[in-house]
Amino acid sequence: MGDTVNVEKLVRDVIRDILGVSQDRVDGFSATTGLFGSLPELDSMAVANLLTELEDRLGITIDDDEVDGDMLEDFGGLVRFAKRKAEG
Amino acid sequence: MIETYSWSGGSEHILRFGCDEPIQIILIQPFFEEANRLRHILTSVMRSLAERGIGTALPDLPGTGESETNIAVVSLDQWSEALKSAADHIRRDCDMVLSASFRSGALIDNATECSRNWRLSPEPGSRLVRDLMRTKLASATHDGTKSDHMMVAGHAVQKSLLDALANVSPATIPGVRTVRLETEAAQADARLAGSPVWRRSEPGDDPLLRAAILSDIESWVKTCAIS
Repeated sequence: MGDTVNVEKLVRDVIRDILGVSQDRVDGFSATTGLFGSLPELDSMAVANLLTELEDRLGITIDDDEVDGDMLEDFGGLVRFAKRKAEG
Repeated sequence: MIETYSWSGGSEHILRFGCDEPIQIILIQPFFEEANRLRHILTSVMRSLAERGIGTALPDLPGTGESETNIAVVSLDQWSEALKSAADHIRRDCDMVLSASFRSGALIDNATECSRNWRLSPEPGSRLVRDLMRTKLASATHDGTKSDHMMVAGHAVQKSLLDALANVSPATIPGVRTVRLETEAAQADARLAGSPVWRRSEPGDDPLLRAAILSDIESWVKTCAIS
């Protein structure tokens, strides 16, 4: 799970599956694509589902105090967070 | 068709398809919001199984679905007791009852006392409760409840119910078949195609997952019938 490309793809898949963002749209996400506050599908309820699904797919546990503005600000931040967690 | 079954606290609805079939599966839904997200898939799988000669029954547990019981007074033990009563109700008129539980439904599937059990993506109660609390933290409007109750998925439930759930895990049952999605990291006997509809913001369908559940349950029932 530590592979960068795989984790990035996994995060894209989670956004597609949980938020209902189309494959085309999520494929167009770059590191600077805004998430929380920018992506209308990502409301506060959806954040909880997104984090829990990342836990299930990566086999990790995310503590609530790890969740901050940086990790959800843009796509690149979320991928960096997921990669760091996946690498333990 | 909709029947009713009785438990010590009253009676609840039970949705049945193919009730004359000799083999019946009692389906156990996840608790709280995930039940709504899976409902459509479960009922369509039930119809398809009936077409293949397999009966299914989906009970409302006290305080869930169409139940008239107030969920604010329900305990985990009562859910288990009601589920056992539902299984006994089905057992009266068929040769074999199997259990199929979905997500947190696996936390109480042993109450059915079925000898053969199937589980989709079971999770320990601690994860269910953590998920609920995370959702609660994320939505600041859900507060202002009585001190011994907590708002969960729009309903006030006893804190003792959440405490009990947090301390229970799916029972170790010999021969249980556990299936999970291809995307899940945890161990499983088989992997199903499809997406985690139980976590989608909008309830929906997933034909891939629906077909995979149907196919796996159908072949599992065949192995149960011959062993």
